[in-house]
Amino acid sequence: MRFNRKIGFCLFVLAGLFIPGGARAQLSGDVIFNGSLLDICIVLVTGSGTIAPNATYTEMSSEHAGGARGEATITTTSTNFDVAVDAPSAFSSAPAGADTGVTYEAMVSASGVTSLLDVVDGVLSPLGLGLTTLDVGVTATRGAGVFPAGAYQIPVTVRCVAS
Amino acid sequence: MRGVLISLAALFAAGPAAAQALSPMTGEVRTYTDRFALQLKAFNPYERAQRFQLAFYDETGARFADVQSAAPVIYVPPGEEVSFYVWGMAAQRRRINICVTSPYFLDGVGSQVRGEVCGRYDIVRLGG
Repeated sequence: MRFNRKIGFCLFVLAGLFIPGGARAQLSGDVIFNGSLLDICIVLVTGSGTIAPNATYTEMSSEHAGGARGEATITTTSTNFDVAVDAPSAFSSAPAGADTGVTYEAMVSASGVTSLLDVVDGVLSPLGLGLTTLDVGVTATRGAGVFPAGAYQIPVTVRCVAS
Repeated sequence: MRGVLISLAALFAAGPAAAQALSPMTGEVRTYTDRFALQLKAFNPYERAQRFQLAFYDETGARFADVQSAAPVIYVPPGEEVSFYVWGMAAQRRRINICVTSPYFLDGVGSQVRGEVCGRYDIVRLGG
């Protein structure tokens, strides 16, 4: 009987040694969650536009009848970003002689978490947090003469910049 | 790139790759040498593979001649991200704007739009 009690005591001590330390030390604990949120800006061009001439053929613009603005979205995860559009420096495709004495301008309007109305090229505008939808317009103006007949393409860049 | 110290712990922090055009967008690189290097990720949110152009500018918009990457263009499959390295000479302190630019989209009639994302990075040379 005494021998059995000694064996039982030893088993009790051994059992105690094998109980996991954490479970023995405390009855509750914190579960840690790790995560990170990157400061990001996504520019997604969703549609190119159309340019059309004015009545006197001295302008080609997305703002004239038959024209349409290009579209893009910007998604941000913070308010640390600005948006701007660049004025084109030339047609990327045009009939011969079409780019003589031409000036270019671009403009952008925004809706969603950012509200902008026809902000001209080169101007940085702060973006809101989340999804912004952009309408991008462009106008090419001829200083003298008229635009010749033919197919035209004009490039515009939408830029998201860390502010 | 012997002698280059990359100490951009925050920039290399592992995180879930959400859709993004460029990550991180800002950062500070500290180096003990006259050179620096940093790693960035470009993400292609489009449904088609894209060839993004890389460009490096100063604060006035002038291009840097002494900042470079392995190639001026990176190819990114649809919905995926690609890491790339940028390196150059480190001054006591210099700011570099790194831009990732998509091609122009050609589905329109007359006006083409392209997207560009520019991050801002400060290079700081310690000591010396």
